[in-house]
Amino acid sequence: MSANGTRPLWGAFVVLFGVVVAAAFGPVEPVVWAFPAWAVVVLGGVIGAVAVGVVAVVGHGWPRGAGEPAPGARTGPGTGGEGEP
Amino acid sequence: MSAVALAVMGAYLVLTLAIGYLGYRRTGSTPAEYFLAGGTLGRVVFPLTMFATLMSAFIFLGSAGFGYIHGFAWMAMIGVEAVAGIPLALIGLRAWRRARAAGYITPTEFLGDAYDSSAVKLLVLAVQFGWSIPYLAIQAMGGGLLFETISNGAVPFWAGGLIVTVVTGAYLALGGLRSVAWSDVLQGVAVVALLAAAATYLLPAIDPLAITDALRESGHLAPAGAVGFFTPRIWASFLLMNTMAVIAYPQMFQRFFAAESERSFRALLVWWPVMALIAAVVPVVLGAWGTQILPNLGTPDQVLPALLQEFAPAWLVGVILGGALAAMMSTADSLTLTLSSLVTRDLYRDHVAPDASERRETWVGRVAIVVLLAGGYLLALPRLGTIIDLAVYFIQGNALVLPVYLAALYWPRASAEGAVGAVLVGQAYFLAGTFGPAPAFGFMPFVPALALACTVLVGGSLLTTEGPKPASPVTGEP
Repeated sequence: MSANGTRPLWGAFVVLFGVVVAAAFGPVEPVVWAFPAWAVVVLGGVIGAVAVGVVAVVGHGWPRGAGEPAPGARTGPGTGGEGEP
Repeated sequence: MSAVALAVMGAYLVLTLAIGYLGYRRTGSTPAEYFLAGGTLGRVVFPLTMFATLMSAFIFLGSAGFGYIHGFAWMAMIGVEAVAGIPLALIGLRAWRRARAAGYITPTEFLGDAYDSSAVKLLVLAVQFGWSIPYLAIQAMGGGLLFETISNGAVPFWAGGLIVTVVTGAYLALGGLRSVAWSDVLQGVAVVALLAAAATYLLPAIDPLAITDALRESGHLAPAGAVGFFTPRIWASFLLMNTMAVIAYPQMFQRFFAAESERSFRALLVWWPVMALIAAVVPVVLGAWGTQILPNLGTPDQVLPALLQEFAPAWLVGVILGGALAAMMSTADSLTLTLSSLVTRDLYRDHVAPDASERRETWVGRVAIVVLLAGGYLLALPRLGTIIDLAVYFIQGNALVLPVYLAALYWPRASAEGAVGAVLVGQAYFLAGTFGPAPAFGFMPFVPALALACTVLVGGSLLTTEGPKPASPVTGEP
């Protein structure tokens, strides 16, 4: 994940939003417990959003403010700032 | 049932007032203290107040009613708000950094500064204010209806609406955002916990597996919904609209500015989707299942209270309907506070009394709160259906303003001319598509209006600027 982690998060949002949009074309069958297949896809997108939040924050420490470099990031003059893309 | 439910709701209102009083004792007299709680909302309060601000009584009554009418399809429309938590945190953090550097209090102050234009500020203020007033009225209507229903008419509509308006006005005028945020913690927890309690209690009684075949036959399991409303284009329109509106509502965007630190946004990114997941699934599926348990309900919005009355003890019905009251008040108070800050900062301070002291500004904010709530209450009294219709457009009208906010945050070449054109063209096409003959091409009118607004924003900005704007001496950003 990049220093501020915004690009992977934007990418995850686009994918998950696309999943929920695409669910409109999903089939009713099979029914998983009481949920039709397309609704399971929607729930997958929603649970994916939960997972993305946990991974970004707990796993990668998003967001990294000034003076809080990413693990393993090069620091010092000439290595670039913490600005968002 | 009514006596128990009324007692629970009365206790809830007293507790909210007590929290408001505690907030008042901790609140200073400056506008930043009053409207933004001094920027002190941390990892617990910040995500809960954001969630409570978004969730209105609709989630208890309207969302279950839509589940009853359309079926599971409505789950996707609310579920996308969980996915919207990602851009909410990303955009919110960026807006917070700008606001913290420059000391903004209102979203329109930020816009006016970003575009260096009073015209952009006043135009967006007028648009968001205009869409918000009917929404304010509908909260008072909700309070009146809730009390009237629970008391079987013993508390009339006008009295129920008045009680909710007065209590909201009291804790809001006293403590500003600090009172709102602290009461939002109670309200946010209540919304999530009571929805979970409703599901836990009703699931064994309903036995969803036994009614799945009947639901399939009635169309309640189809993505298009039982009445075929959600065509793929309408589906996509709703998802886009709900995602954008969550960020663009003035009360949500202003709340970004009140975060204590970047850690507040970490908590938002983690907890928002969890809370939104519960809010998306529980009322909709209970509403859909309710079609088989309670067919031919005259008022679909009553499905959740009716299910509870059928299967749950009276005290639980009262507690859960208290949750609806909590959700309603947490939206009304936040919206009123934001509107009063717009009046105080962007109209009174900028155009009426530029030399007014901060203490005077805060008092003007308090007076504006009383006037706004009184106006909303008076608008609610005639129970006009058109007000409810207008409130539905609150979502779309606000979502259409989001490109102007995003361009101010992310696109250095965005110009005031482009922004003014985008707002005017977007709103005009939306109104023409909603109330007139402008084509929507199978989508909701919001979608072509959004496409036009974005085109005008980009085209207008490219035509009126020659390159990126110089960095601001305050924020260091364009």
